[in-house]
Amino acid sequence: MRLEEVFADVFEEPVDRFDEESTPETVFKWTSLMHITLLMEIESTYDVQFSNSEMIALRSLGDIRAALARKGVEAA
Amino acid sequence: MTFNSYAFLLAFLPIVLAGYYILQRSFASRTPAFLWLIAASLVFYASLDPRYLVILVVSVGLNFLAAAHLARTSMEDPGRRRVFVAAVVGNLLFLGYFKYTGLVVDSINGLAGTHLDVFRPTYPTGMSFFTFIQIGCLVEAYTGQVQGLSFVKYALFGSFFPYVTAGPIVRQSEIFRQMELPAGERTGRTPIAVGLTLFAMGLFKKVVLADNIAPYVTTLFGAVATGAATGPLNAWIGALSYTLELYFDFSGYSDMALGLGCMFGLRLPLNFNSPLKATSMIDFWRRWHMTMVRFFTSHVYTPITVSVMRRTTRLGLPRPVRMLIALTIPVFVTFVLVGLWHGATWGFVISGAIHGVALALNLSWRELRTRFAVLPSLPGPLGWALTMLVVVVANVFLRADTVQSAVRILGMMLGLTSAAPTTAAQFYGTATLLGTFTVVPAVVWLVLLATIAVLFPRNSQQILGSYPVALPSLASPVEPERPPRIDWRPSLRWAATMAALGGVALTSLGGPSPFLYYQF
Repeated sequence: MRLEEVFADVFEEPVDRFDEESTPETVFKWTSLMHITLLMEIESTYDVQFSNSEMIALRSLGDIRAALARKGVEAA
Repeated sequence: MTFNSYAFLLAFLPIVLAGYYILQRSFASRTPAFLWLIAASLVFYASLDPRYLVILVVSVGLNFLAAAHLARTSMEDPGRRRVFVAAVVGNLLFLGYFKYTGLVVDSINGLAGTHLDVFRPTYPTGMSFFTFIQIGCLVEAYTGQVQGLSFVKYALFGSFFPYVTAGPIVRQSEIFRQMELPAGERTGRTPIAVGLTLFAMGLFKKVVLADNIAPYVTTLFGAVATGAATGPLNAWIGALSYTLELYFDFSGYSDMALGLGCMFGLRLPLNFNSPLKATSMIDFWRRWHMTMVRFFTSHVYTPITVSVMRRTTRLGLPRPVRMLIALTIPVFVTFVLVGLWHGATWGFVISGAIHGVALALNLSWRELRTRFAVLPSLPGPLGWALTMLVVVVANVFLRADTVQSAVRILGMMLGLTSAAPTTAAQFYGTATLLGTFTVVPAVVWLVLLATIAVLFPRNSQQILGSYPVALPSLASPVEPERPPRIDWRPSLRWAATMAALGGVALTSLGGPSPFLYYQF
């Protein structure tokens, strides 16, 4: 599953609404609670775990893709 | 020396600005101009109290060593986590020593009936702001988001005078990224004109609006502190006046900070976005002290929520129960801590708890409404009135000298008082306007400030909207445009208007009137 598709599912918005630059500042539904829901959904989709400091630091779709790559997941 | 002092406005700022632009044009390297700004920032901070300077220098120095170590070492390095934890805990202990020693000693004396007396340190202005800014940087260095850290850049980031005393709470990436840009892209005539305009608006908000309503706030809260009482109308005038004073004081400060950032080519994140127009508690906290909300959301609310969600999932609780817990507990705990950050008294804690409960209710209501459609959406004016009620009540606890005084004021607002009825004119005093009309200045200022805060169609950054003065901090909903559309342009007419605004502010500068948020 592509990372943009996970975003689209969680935020209930079209996939093309999201790109590398998507952040809480540009996606209005990306609230603090949705941020955690999103990352926990990504954890279960790709079978990875984020630390607290990663949860804080990941602030854009690009950041999350890079963090997944560091964990060996190529979320194309 | 504060932003609203003659020494700052007529000597410090012109000299520092001129020196910065001269150094920037004279050297190919940015280092001399940055060193100049560091020196200026240290002079500014020392001017508040020379003893404070040592604390700032120690904090910036030690945090640089920790951040540089974290940025340099590989993610797999086994000692990394220890350095990170030690640095964060060290920052919190250092801050806690200055902020909470009195509370701890008083609590022990109160509980154990002892008479312990230890050295109570003076709280250095804005210590929590520069500590939080640097903790944010440590977290990002730990997660590998800080590269190429130089001491000069870090020292400026940690001590930059526009935000060192009361924010905005910037992120390292916001400042370091701009430091890398060529000077010509960041600075020049337009940033100076835009920055000065925003600064003039902020100065006007602080010294003309906030400082003129402040005496009437003192009238009520001072009287109640000495045991006096008054009727509901006077209690409401004083309580509403404090919310407006706090707003114009801190939003004025923030405009000045952002304006200074613009002039020096380092734009700062937005801190206020017309919070007194908010129609819900969630909306309010996306508009009031936005960088503090962003910091607490990242570093307090998120870890608590993650922990709560993981635990409740492991316990196998049903989804609605898990959702309810996740929606209420973390936000309540976070806002109690926000209250405690404001100060070490029960009044601050209660103020935070009121916001926590109101936000938890608002979040739960929104969730039930959007997911299950079981609750209606409140009409805008009703939502606004409820939100303002919560804000005003919580602010009474922020301002009152004791919890008992706050409760008494709230009782008076409800009419629960046996005080002999006094009119607003008797309680707050009168003045003669234009030699003819007798007015109650407290009411005049209250109506004027409330009208500006709630009904004025555009705020400072919206007026300057064609020239982005702030970095985005929290997403805001797109609001429908309300006429008239007031747009700043680099024109003679606007220059004259702003000169008049700044002139009125300059001539209104009275004695020292520190910003309310300096104490936090």
